[in-house]
Amino acid sequence: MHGTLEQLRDHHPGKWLLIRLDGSEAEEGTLLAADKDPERVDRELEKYSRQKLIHPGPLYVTYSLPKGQELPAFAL
Amino acid sequence: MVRSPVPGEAPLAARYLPSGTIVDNITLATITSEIHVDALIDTGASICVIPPSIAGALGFEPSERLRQRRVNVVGGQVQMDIHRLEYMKVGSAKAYRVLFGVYSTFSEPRIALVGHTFMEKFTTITFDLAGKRVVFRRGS
Repeated sequence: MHGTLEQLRDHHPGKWLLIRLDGSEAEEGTLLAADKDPERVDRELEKYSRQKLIHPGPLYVTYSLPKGQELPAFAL
Repeated sequence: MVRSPVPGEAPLAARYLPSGTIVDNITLATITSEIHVDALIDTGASICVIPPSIAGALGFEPSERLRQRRVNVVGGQVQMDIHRLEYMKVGSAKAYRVLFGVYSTFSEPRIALVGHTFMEKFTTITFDLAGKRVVFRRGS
């Protein structure tokens, strides 16, 4: 799935996302993984980071905070 | 030659306000690669901190650390491997040769901490909470 960062977050509330950005300054990218378990996203990050010569776009790890949900512990 | 920092500003992520001063999509870069993460801007942190999974994906290995350092954290002291990024970019503010520690600071550990080793490259840091931004300036 390709879209703006906001669109990708909105489609996967409560999940960690791994996105390949269209460029270093891009506000759009392609979703590579979405999971509630950050360790699964870690494994995908490790896999895709090894492919940087094939796919040079930067990788972005972000969390999609669901609307109306309390802040997670890391943001307190 | 150390390149001069680039002053700039970053929007605070609206979804975390008003409690968290978090910036989306900061850049962590080496000579050969970059990874983007979200980061808590923490004026009380002496050093920038990057989670182990992110440091590993950037190619930083424990065996190649510059040194180890004991760092005070909530609840006590921990020992961190210290490495250096080629640059870190927070919004439009950019600083080169930024030291960081590798540690899982948070219970959900895929977020970075922007601490003093980035902020020391600038002279004034302003949290504009009404404007939902943090500004990094140089000079008087």
